[in-house]
Amino acid sequence: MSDLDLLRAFRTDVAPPTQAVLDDVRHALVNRAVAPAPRRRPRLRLALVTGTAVALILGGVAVHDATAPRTPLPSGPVPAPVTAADRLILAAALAASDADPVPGPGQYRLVRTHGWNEVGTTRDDGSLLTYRREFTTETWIPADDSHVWYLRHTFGPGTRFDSPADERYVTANRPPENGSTVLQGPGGMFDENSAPPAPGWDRPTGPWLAALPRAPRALLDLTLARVGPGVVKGTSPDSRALGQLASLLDTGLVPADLRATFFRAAALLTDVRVTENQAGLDGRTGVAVGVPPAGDLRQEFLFDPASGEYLGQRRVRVADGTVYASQATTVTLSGAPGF
Amino acid sequence: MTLLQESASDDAAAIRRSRDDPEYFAAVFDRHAVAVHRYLARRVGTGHADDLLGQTFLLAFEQRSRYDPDRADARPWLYGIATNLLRRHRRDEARLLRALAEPAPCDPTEQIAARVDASGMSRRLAAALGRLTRADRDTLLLFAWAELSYEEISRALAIPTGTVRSRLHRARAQVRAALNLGDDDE
Repeated sequence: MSDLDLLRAFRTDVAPPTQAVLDDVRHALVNRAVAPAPRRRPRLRLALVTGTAVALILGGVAVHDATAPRTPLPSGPVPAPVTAADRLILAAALAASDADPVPGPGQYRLVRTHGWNEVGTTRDDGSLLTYRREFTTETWIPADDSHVWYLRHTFGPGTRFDSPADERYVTANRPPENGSTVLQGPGGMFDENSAPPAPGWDRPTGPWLAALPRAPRALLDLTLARVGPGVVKGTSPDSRALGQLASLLDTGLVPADLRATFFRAAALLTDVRVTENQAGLDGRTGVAVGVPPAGDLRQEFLFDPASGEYLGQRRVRVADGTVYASQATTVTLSGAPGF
Repeated sequence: MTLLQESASDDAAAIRRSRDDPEYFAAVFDRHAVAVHRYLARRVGTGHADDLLGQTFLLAFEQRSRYDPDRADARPWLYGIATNLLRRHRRDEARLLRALAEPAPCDPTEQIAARVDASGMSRRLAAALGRLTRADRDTLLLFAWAELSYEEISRALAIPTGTVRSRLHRARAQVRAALNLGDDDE
């Protein structure tokens, strides 16, 4: 008897799923399937008796019994939900199998981040007034990243205020100036008048990213060390770590294998949970995961569960679930910028 | 051929139709649920398998737009998702294999039998599986239990076929050594 014979005979005595389990899962699946159009009646043509399906599988016969009556859907509990960690790990597997876009001759990787940032100004009485401003950052990265990069940062046009009074004050006294700033520099160094900062979290170069650990726990420990302990301005270490990982992903520089490690590291965060299954961000939809916040805002990280693509990050008000600040990142291939 | 028959004829057709009409996805579930559950139960026990079965198919449903329509058989795709979900149950699997590797403490007849009979072989097999790396164990059990081919495992795990071959070779060598079996005879 070969090792494979022994293996194939090993643990063949496991119990098959009960009909209740199959019914529950199928029920959850059909519910998910019809969720976008709940008024539509279930169609008889998909009415399989699971027992019939089992028989067909065992018999190896791919014939469908169209006349089988529909199994009544139970009203019992649905199966355990998919956890945030499971979703992140699966997204990691998808991210790892994705190829990074490679610019051809004359092409650039265009990293576009669009969102809403918190900005602050002081009132005449010295108190702080914060509001959100729309921004767009576009970075053109050449195939050889030691060559010239281009960056365009656009302020505005949108603003969001906490109150009409805040809006009136800013409009009358500190109106924001909208417009674009264009920079360029070799190797992504846009300030030619000062020495470049060392590669690191604030300047993630290719070699620095390549040297980051691919073991999720090691990467998470490094990230937690970077963001430091304790509650800072209403943020916990875990929420800052999630934000730090998202911020690196926002650069569009993180290669596919490391993106997968980021997702797996996020899955290790204590109490990471799905906060929204169909979260919209700049016209795209994905899963939002976050950790319980220490303050008023919850840091979240969004990804496409179908592709493992990172979509962006946002901060959500705990009190009412509204989005306070957000940014969405896309990476595409592009020609040279026209400026 | 009716729509229904087409949906049953292969997974790709059902998944393709489910993009416009999501209910078609139930046909994929009906075709593979029992086999996927069996694989999961052999890996981590029936209790976890019940949960993982639902998670596997709900995630597959979400990802159906990425399914390669040229692949008539969805098994590699489904087992790939299931294997990724099993990552979170490594400790459960290790615990199960440890339990299977140990003789029942209060049953002397079992201990005697363990030296000679199949149950003893099963314990050594459990211990050997427990000593494999996760990647090697995934590959070996997708081959032996899920009955996927090299090429199908390659798709399930998104690794080159050569890696499948080397992992299988290494895993089987370790298992054979643990069971005091000779060279590969398959």
